Amino acid sequence: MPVAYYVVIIFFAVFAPFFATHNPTYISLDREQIKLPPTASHFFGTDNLGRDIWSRMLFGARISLLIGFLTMIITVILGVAIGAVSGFYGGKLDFIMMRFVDILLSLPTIFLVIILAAFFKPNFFGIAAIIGMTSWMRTARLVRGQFLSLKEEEFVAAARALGYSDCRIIVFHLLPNVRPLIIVDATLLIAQAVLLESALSFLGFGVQPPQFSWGSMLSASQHIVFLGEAPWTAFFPGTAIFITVLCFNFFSEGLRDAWDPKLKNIVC
Amino acid sequence: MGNRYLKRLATLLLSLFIVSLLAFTLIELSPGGAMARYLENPKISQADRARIALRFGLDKPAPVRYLIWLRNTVQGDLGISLMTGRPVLTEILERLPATLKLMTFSFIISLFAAIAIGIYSATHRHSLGDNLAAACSFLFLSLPSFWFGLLMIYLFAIRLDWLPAGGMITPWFDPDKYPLPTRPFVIFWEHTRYLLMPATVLSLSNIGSWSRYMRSSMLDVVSQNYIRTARANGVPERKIVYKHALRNALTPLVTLVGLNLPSFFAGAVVTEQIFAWPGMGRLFISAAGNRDYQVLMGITIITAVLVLLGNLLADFLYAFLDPRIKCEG
Repeated sequence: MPVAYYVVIIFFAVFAPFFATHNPTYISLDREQIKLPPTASHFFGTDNLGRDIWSRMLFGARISLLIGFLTMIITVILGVAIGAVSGFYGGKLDFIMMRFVDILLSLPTIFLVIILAAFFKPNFFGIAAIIGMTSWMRTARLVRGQFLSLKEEEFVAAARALGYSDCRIIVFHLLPNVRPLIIVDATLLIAQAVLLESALSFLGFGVQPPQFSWGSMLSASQHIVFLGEAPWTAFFPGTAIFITVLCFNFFSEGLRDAWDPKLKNIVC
Repeated sequence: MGNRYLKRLATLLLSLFIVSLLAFTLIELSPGGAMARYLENPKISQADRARIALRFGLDKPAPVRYLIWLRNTVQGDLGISLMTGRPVLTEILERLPATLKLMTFSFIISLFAAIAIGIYSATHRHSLGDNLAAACSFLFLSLPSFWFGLLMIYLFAIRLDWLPAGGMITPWFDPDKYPLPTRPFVIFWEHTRYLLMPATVLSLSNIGSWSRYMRSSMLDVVSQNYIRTARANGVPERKIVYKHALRNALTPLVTLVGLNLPSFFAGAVVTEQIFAWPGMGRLFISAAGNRDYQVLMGITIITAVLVLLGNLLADFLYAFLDPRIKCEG
């Protein structure tokens, strides 16, 4: 079921221009055009600037999903690299790195995220980088834990005896063993990234106009009068975020159960 | 044993040092740095900027300024807000009680709901209620809090007009107007009706994860030998669940709650923004919008202190609930 949803949503995002009924950034201040409730010509109504919400949601999906994926990739690269090195070499390096991870995990990183977003005014790639840089810790810990036990296995000793380099052992011998774990974690990371990006954009620190994501579409609804006049402007983009996050969470859970019931206790 | 707590304290101080250094470096690296606030105003000339920099001591090199900031902070002086010109500490202390009020209320809701749902799910495993709770916790964890908050405002404040859409208390609320016997109830309701929506929004994700955790920890405990012994001795099931199992099932939850504190604060930022709650999170958002680095640094460090103290408290509580920990540590 979630897979079907992805196919549909990615299809819509990729072919957004074909499904959009209006220009998503076309602003009309005509009183007849603003805050229209959903009708046959505007499926999801229009917002306070007369923009068609259905069309905006299609194009907004591109940014929201792209940031989600980009963040996941950045997080996985950082997390796996740090976790692998820490777990493989162990010892003092491992100790220092894991203390650092502990400290970062125990701090409210959202404050650093907002500071970064406010001072750097990043584009969407920057937002992905910011979120990625502050959420790799759990992945690192998972990978490190697996590496600690895996490196004692015989196939590692065999690889060592063959004179392979550490790098080769890590990448070709150890990493394939933790692949299911990483993929499960990655799907979960996408869900969290989409959620965090939309919250950031909602607060006004994420995607900046003229670009827009699902989260920034809700931003205007913070004004109570506007929310009362045109609740659909908040309802539809928010529903899209909710369903997307739900499906990624679902997917991750499904993968975990399907691949390895043992993982159940590791990823929490 | 004293050694253990000394170690904890050292970690705490190190964490504070790292977070302040991180925040400071990030601001410093950004275009404009601490002066970003004045960068975009064309009316502020180069000479004016130099004067402002001199006035705030921003002309010194960054490492020196960090050390000055550190020295002042240790002495309880968090600097002056660029937005209002008032001491940052005063600003934060004005807003802190509101945030703590919201968080305490939400904390109590989450804890009781999670424990109740967890116990129910564990004792009625694979029943309709358990499956429903599992589905709900999944939904809660995926719910964008800001969207859910807006829906609640639309339904309960705009459509039904049952609860206020935002704020903490009616500005002209005067308890003396009400006759004495009903006065406590009026005051209670006045506070609660403003708290109800934001606290619920803030609680949902906590309830989602804590109740699942409570369920599995309860199931772990129930399968242990001493519970079987109690059953064999004919102790009533109710007593087994609430007296024998509950206490041991709660101990792991304490750790999880401590670990969740950062996300609790993060949730508070968003929730306060939606419900116009006059707390620290909203101050942070407006300070970020104004690039008021003094306030941002101040709030980051104060929140870090609160979170770390919370973690420390969770540790103590854990050791208190589970005396075995003391020997291992």
